[in-house]
Amino acid sequence: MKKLEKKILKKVYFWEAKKTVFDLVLKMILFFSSGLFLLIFGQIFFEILDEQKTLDLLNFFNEDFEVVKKYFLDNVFIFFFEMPKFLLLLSLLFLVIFSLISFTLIKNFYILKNKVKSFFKCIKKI
Amino acid sequence: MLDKEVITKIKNGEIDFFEVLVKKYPKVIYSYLFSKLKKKENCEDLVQEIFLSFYKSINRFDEERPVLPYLFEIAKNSLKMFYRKRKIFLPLKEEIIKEDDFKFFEDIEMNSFGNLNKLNEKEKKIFEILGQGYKIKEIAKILRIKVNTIKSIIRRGRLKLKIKK
Repeated sequence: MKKLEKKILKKVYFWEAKKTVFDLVLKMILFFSSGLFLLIFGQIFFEILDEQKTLDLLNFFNEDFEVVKKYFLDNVFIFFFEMPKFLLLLSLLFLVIFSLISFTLIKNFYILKNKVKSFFKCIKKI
Repeated sequence: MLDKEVITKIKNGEIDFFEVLVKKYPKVIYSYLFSKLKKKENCEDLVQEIFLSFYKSINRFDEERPVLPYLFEIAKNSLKMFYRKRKIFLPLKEEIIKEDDFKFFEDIEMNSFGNLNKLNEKEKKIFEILGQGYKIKEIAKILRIKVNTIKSIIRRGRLKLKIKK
C-alpha cells in the first residue's frame, strides 16, 4: 500500500507542478507582453497628441471658471475628435489585460508561495 | 487532523497536506475496486486516477462535505469508464451489411408490391428511396426529416410488411 501511496503522490505532484509552471509561464508572458504593448501604444498615443498640440487644449483649465464652463463641451468634443481612437482602444485593451493579470498574480501570490514551499518539501520526501 | 482542515490547507496551496488524505483513504477505495475488478494492476491504476481526479477538482470541492462518499462517486464513474474502454467493438464488414440490405429488398419484392399498399404515403416514399440505394442519412437530408424519425418509420413499415430485420 505504501508503494501505491507514493505512486499517487508522485502523480499528483507531477500534475500540479506541470500545471503551476505552465500557468506561471503563461501569465508572465501575458504580463510582460501586455505591459510592453501598453507602453509602446501609450507612448505613440501621447506622441501623436503632442505633435498635434492637442494637449494644449488642457491649458484652458487654467482660465476662469466661467470660461471653462462655457467652452468645456466644445473642448471635450475637439479633444475627442483629434485623438487617435484606434490607438486609444488598443492601449485600453492592453491596460485591461495588464491589470487583470496583475490582479490575479497579486491575489494568488500567497497560494503560489505555499505551493512552491510544498514542492520543495515533497521533493525531499519523494 | 480533520479532512475539512486538510482540504482548506490544500486550497491555500499547501499541497503537501494531500498526503494526509492519500494515507487515509486508498485502502478502502482499493478494496472496493478489487471486489469489482479482481486484478491488482487495474485497481492500482484506477486508484491513482481517482485520487488525481479528486485533486483536480479539490478547488470546487466543498470542505463541509465528507470526502469518502465523493471518492466513491469518482470510483464508480472511473469504473464505468474502465468498463467502457474495455468493451470490445466488432467492426461490421461491408459485405455483411450489403448482404443484409439485399435480403431486405428481396423480402420486399417477395412480398410483392401489393403488400406495399399497406404502407402510408410517407412510408412508401421512404421505402422507394431506400430501394434506390440511398442511405438513411441521405434520405433524412432529402426529405428534411430527422434520422431517428426515418428509422422508426422504417421499423414500423417493416412490421407492417412482416419483414424480419
